[in-house]
Amino acid sequence: MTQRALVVALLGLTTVVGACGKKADPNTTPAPVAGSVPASSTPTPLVRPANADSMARAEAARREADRAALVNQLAETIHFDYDQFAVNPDDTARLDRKAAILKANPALRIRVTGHADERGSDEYNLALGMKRAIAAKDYLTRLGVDGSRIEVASLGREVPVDPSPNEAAYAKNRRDEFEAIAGAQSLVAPR
Amino acid sequence: MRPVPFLQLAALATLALVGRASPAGAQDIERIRLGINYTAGARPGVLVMAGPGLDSIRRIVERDLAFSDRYEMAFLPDSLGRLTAPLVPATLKPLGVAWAVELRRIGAGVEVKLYDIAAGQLRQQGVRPLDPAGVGESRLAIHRVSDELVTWINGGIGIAATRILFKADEIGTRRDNGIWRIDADGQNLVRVSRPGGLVVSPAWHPDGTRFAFTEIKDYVGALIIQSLATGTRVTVPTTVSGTNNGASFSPDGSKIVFGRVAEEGTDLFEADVTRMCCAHRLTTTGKYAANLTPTYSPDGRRIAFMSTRAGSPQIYAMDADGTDQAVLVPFDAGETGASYAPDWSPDGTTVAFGRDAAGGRQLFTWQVGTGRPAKQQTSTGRQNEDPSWAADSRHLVFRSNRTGRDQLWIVDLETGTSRQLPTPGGARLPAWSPILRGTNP
Repeated sequence: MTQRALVVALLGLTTVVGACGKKADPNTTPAPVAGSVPASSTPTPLVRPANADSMARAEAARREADRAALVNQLAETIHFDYDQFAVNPDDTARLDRKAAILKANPALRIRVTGHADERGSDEYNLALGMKRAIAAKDYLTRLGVDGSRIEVASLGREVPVDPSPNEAAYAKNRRDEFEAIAGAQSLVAPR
Repeated sequence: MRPVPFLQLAALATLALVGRASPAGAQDIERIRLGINYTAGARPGVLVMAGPGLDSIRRIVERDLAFSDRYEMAFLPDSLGRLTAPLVPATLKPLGVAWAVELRRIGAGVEVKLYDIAAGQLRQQGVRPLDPAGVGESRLAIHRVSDELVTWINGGIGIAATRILFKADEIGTRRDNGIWRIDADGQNLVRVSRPGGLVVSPAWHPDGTRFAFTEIKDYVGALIIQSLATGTRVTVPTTVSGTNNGASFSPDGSKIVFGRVAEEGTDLFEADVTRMCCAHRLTTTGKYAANLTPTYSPDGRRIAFMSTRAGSPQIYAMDADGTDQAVLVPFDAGETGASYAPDWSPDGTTVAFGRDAAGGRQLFTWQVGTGRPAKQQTSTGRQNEDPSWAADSRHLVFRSNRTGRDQLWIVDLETGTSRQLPTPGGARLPAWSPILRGTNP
């Protein structure tokens, strides 16, 4: 049995013990609960409940950390050249990781939002941002992700991460942002 | 500016003597030297004087006429522009101005008189209900008087009684700060969109009482039509998916054409805003192409727009029903700079747009149907774009970063004169109103 499975078993046991420890109504005879055993025959737990709680908390924290790491990978921003929407070679590894996470978690759905720097009109940059979002979606679907799981949107130049009027800021602002919109409560790491 | 001749100063000193019924001493002469901003030239000279209590109105009219860029204005300080006795046109003849405007209180109104100085005659007069304070909404009535004077003098179209809508953002953060309006003379700044959402692309309804804009919420940009008087809003049907932007009303106000940014591509659509229905697609060029920023010709029969269908953004046009799509402004592939956001002049003769040239983006104009190359109209700064025509078809308002941040500028294409509209924070996407009539807010 793996460590994770053992902890799950212990958690289940703790729950049963907790339920059995509940004060009985003196006016009623408890009905048998499927899978439960009389209190008098309850086996001695392998570990004390306090330790089990601690381990469970640790495991939950580890799982959340694993999940957060996947969410972070999913949310990694990719960047674009000026007035371009082709995915940069530097960003393909990031998109590859996202594709793997999406394929390992069929319930997961994401939104890709394209952004632009402040040069050019708002309208043109809304269209450019959409093309950047579509470019990322196309890349992911070519890797086998079902396109219906990927929404695309554009905020153009409207929401800069760095409002400074210089090239360094412009480079940060020309980006796709990725956000899980469903199925991210529990995530399985890709093999 | 060349020095004002002594003879002209002496003439005005005489005028001051008549008007103020007080001796014109050395101090008056000095004030004249400081106050006069008149240089005789090709354009007719104009002087504006007013009776007591009308200093504010006089200054507004004086500035409106200057901003028309049609006249050489003799700017006067209040002390010299104030009359206590009727204006005597003959006293102004040595000054060299062609026209003089006299403003005087009559009952609850203001009498406006226009004198032809060369002929020594009164040419036009009328009484108008004006608020002497000249603040807030009452300014519009004063601007209308200025426009009447332009018509009286030249038979031309004045643009003082107009306003400009624009999108603002905050200083520093550049966060969205809504849509605002400002009088064409740079006064009377008012926010018109409510807080919340991101807003872009204000566009005037031709009746001047409403405007359309895009409000982006939850990644969808809906087209809203809002009353300027009441703030009442209506969402244009079928604009609740994608990001619908860059709207333009048909000249009769019955239709609205706009770009929709969506996964299947960025294309132009048209909707009926009289019946509030029936949006339909006008272009189809694929998901990696964009067709944007449409503008109707003033007869309503054609629509110019930007398209990336051939790669580089360029200016195209089609019939209003979407047929006969073709290049409008000729370009050489690989040579001509990318061209953006056209606006068709109210007189129908010209299309203005932004074009990449010499490392920056500059305003260009192209005479419709002439086959001549487009003419570059700006050269200051590296980002000059999103032009919007004034009703006189000679002024453009546009966005420029020539001061280091996005601001609104106005250029007169006949004289090359430009001025900045004073706006807080960043300002872009200007839309110049039609002439605002008496029923406008």
